[in-house]
Amino acid sequence: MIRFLRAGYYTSLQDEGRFGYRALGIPQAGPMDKKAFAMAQALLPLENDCHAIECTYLGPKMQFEKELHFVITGAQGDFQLDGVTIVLNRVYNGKKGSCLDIGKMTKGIRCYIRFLAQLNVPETMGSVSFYFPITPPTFKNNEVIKGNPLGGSDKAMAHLRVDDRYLNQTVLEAKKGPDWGLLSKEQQHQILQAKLSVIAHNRMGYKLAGGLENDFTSIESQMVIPGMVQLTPGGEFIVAMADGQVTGGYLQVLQLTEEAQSILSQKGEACALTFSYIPH
Amino acid sequence: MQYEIFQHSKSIYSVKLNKERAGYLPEIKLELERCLPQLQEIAFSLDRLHLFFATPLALDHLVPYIDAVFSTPKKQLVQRNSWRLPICLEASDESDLSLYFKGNAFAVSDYIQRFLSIQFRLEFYGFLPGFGYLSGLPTNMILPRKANPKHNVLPGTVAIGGPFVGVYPQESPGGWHSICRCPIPWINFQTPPHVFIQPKGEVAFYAVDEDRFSILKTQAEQGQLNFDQFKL
Repeated sequence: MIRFLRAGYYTSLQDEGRFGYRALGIPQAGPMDKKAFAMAQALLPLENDCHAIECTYLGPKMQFEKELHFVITGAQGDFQLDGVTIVLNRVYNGKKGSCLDIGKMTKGIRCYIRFLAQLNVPETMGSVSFYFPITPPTFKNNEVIKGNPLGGSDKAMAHLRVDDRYLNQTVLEAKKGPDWGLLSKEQQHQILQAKLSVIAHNRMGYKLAGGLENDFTSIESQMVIPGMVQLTPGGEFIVAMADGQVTGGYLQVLQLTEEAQSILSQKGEACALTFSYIPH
Repeated sequence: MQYEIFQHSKSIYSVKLNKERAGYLPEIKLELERCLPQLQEIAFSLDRLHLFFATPLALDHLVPYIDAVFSTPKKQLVQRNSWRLPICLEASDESDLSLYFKGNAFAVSDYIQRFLSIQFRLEFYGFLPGFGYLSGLPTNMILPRKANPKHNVLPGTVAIGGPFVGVYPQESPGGWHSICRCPIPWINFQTPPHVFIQPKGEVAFYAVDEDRFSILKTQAEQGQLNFDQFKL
């Protein structure tokens, strides 16, 4: 149905995620930016199918082997259908043979492509979400996604006005994490005043500079959930994301709200951020 | 009530248990699954229970259920199986033990001999899919985690990290001290229940030579391995 002429960086298939397998050490996966993912679902709703293709930095170039409606949400970028620039949050109709080129992203770093189609991708452990070694890690060049395009003339050309101001946001709202109380008032204050910057990131997590050095060493491994802000002994923050390990031994200081997780998921290296504490 | 509860978000909670209750985590999990059908997911770590709801659930609403489950006396209803798993000392490309004991061969072999006499208990899975945390290492055998993790630890590597023993199910960076390799895959992603050792199950190890290691590993790769041979 769709052939990847270029796979792009870390392009993966995602649904809501893999639930119920955390007890076996398996992360939930699912979209990094749940807000953009939900928008794609809202624009092209389908019963029993909530897939979207997550693209990072540079997306795929794809050829439609059948006529197909699709929508793109999330990060803005240089996106073209048969050489014509297309916009976010609008349903387009790709013809058989059409070429969709998801070029470099210019604001935000992750976008989602959703097709009006029932994809023919088998679920593993209740989900199609990519997570190695349960599934392949990413798509490859020349790989074909099979499925049945659905006629959706009523949905075609739908366009929603979307509040995408979160792409500009740099404040991460957070509640206290399980170990917040182990910190002194001074340390808590320092964390909330910290000037954060993204050192590195992937689907497992974000590493942020700006933490404080501390002498909390090797805390017993505890459950980690997406959005959890962990402080390393070296003074960095590690924020667990969709593919984050389900357990970890760092100090669990804060928990990002879902909105803050979406904000963070659109940030690349060197982006500056701060926390904002919200009481429970 | 002797427990602490922590609310991570509107729909995620952790409950810290005392040592006695922690021994009955499989039973507590089963009971909570029965009385809270809105639970999306329930997991436990060493002494904590983690509850994930599909939709928000208020703390006030949750507490009575936990009180009710905790107030009934517990007995073991979920079978704890015992396993005896092969390991190969030679198949480990580079044992960290020799490094740790600075080449003292006697100290290494003494450590291994004691390791082989221990009955471990699988507390929970975490870190990687199918990576089980085994408790039971005596205090004098604890090895602190390495300051600098190794870049790629081979699949099947048996390693010590602090008070825990674990087997790497896949190639991965790792900060634990590797001591030997186990040819048995601990998880499969196709067939439920996906793992053969359930949490709170018991595990001991016995040494096999390289030939036996290769045979078992090949059988496992071809899906021909009979796991029952390792059950006690």
